[in-house]
Amino acid sequence: MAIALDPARTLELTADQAAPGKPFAFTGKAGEYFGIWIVNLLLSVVTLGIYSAWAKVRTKRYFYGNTRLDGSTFDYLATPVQILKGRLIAFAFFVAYAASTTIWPMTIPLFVALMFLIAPWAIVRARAFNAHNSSYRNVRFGFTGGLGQAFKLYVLWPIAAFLTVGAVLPYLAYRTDRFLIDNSRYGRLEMTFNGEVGAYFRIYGMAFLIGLPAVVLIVCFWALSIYVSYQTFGLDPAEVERTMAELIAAISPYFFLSLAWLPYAIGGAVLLGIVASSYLTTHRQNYLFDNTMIGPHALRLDLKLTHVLWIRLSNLVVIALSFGLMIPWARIRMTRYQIEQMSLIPQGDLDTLVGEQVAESRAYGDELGEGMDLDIGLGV
Amino acid sequence: MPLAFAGSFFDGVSSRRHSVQVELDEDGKALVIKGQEVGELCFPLTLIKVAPRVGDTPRFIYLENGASLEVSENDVVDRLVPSLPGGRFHLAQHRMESKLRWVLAMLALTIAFGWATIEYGVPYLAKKAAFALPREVDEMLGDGALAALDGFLFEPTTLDAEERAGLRRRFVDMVGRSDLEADRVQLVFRASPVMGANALALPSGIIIMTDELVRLAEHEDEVLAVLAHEIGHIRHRHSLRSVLQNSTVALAIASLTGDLASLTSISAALPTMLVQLKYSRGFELEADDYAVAMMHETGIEPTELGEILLRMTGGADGKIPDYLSTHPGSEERMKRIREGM
Repeated sequence: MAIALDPARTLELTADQAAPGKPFAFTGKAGEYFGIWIVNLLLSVVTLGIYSAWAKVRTKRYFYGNTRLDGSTFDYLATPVQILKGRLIAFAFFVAYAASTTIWPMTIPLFVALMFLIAPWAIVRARAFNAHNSSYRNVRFGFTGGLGQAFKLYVLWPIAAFLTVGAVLPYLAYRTDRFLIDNSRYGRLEMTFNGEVGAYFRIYGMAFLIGLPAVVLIVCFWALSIYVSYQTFGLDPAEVERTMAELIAAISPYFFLSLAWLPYAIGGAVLLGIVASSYLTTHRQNYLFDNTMIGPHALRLDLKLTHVLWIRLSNLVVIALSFGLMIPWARIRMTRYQIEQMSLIPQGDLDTLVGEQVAESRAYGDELGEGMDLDIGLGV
Repeated sequence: MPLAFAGSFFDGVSSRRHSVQVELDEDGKALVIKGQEVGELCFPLTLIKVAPRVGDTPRFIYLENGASLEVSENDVVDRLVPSLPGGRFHLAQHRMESKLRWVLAMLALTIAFGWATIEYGVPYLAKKAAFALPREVDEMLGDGALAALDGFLFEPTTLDAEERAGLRRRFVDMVGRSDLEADRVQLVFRASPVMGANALALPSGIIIMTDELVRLAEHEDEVLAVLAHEIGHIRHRHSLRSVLQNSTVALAIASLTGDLASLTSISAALPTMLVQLKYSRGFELEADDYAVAMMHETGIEPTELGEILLRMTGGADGKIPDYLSTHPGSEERMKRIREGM
């Protein structure tokens, strides 16, 4: 042969032609959503929060209904009454917590421990509720994560993360993603997660490096403020000013920490923090989707960090300048980018290889878990 | 015009999609679904549920046995809805959200209602709730506070016994003229180089007076004026009302913005803080008013309060803008004191 054929490349080409990815589309419009958002806001406020259950359902329906895949949209099936029940119980719990801890501050540790214990149950139940009430082409999703696993992931491992100053965070993230995906399904199609731990350490490591200058700066500033207050304790105002001026003069050559620099330093630290966290979430979401299979079908997500950062930062500025009125616009904008970067790589024709309904088993307490608003979406 | 539309039919067993035509039968009591793969199906209206319309998203119609329809012709389905339970409510919701004049009206109402709640609603409710609670609640709020403050803020007083006795006598006299029970408030003296000239009222009823303030005052009347202001804080149960108002506002703002993307929760902290500072300034003015009334009762010139306030704030006024401060500016307070005379 005159030209050597690369077998791997050939396989790639064949696979692409056999199963082209079907992109997700988002058809939501800011103007349309603004009307829904403002009515939600007003009626929720006027009814002291009762309407918020209806507001949540309408918002979810709007975003689900504008998410299109292969000509069909997603459906959110929960009723406002279900959401309201859960929220009322959660509210009662909050009132009990606020009243009790204000009058008897010694009960704070008791409530904290209680919330630690309830959290895994609430997270699992909320996820089950949301999965069960989400459907595509009239086949519901499902989540069957176990309480034992949840307790390990949401109580024990976070404690370990705290004790190791975050070193095990990547491993915890890996285990969490695996737990959430492996226990989810679409109809009878089981979802599987094929990711590896190594990728998580790489992603978290990089995010940490990006954010490191900010962390160093904040630690320095914090240490300095402690030192200054220690030095000036017990002095009268004139002496305090003199001592501070002396301290600043002494430090300036080394850390450029004269007061003029401070606002810029803090602003820079915040910005760096946003970049680091955007890096983390973007790469983690991409990795999660790229390694998730729904039965034989694969998912793909291709978010670009530069786009995400641009959208996120410009959204913040626009929201601040509009006193919050542009929140609906910002949300539609971010959602549109996220969804349009998603695609499904179906094995065969989507219409023939289908999910089938599983017999419903309604678990008690789903609404309560949902009411605690602890649902962790699949990235969107 | 006959009620007919196209849609996708799902049989409730698999996700297979079938294109169908749907129409209302002659009696208007059932939906007839016709399609190549499904044949002809009939569903009485009493057994179907139509999802509420949200924007222009495809409408789902839920049929028996878990089957459903996905329809994009929303306007046609809208004609079907009024005859179904809850239908008018759903149509009204959609109308409010989609017609421009309604949306603008909603926007104006939201801003007005939100402002009224923060300005009047929350303070009113907090006041009612606070005064409905027994004074033991206030006492529990401040329990242990003095001991904690003694740990890092205060040192033992350096005023001599005679000075203290004189001030205490006049303090007790002033409390006697108020409607507070004599044992509700108690005066203690401390020195505080860190805090300087100031006075503090703890919700438990303990009023702390610093040596620095006594020395800053040019005569006893000025000290009494500040004490009257602090008594006002306790009489009006500001600590308890502050806790109630601040936590209500924090909870309300957090839950309103909590459903939205996380970037808005950062921006929720700022308005929450601004509202809490505003409440704090309101309480200070209320305490000032009480102090003026008290001073009238005891025959002290209300301007004494203004004088000592000016001296306490020294040149610090104007460095922090008013809306970021826990206390109103001294000029505003002076003006109010003068008007109250």
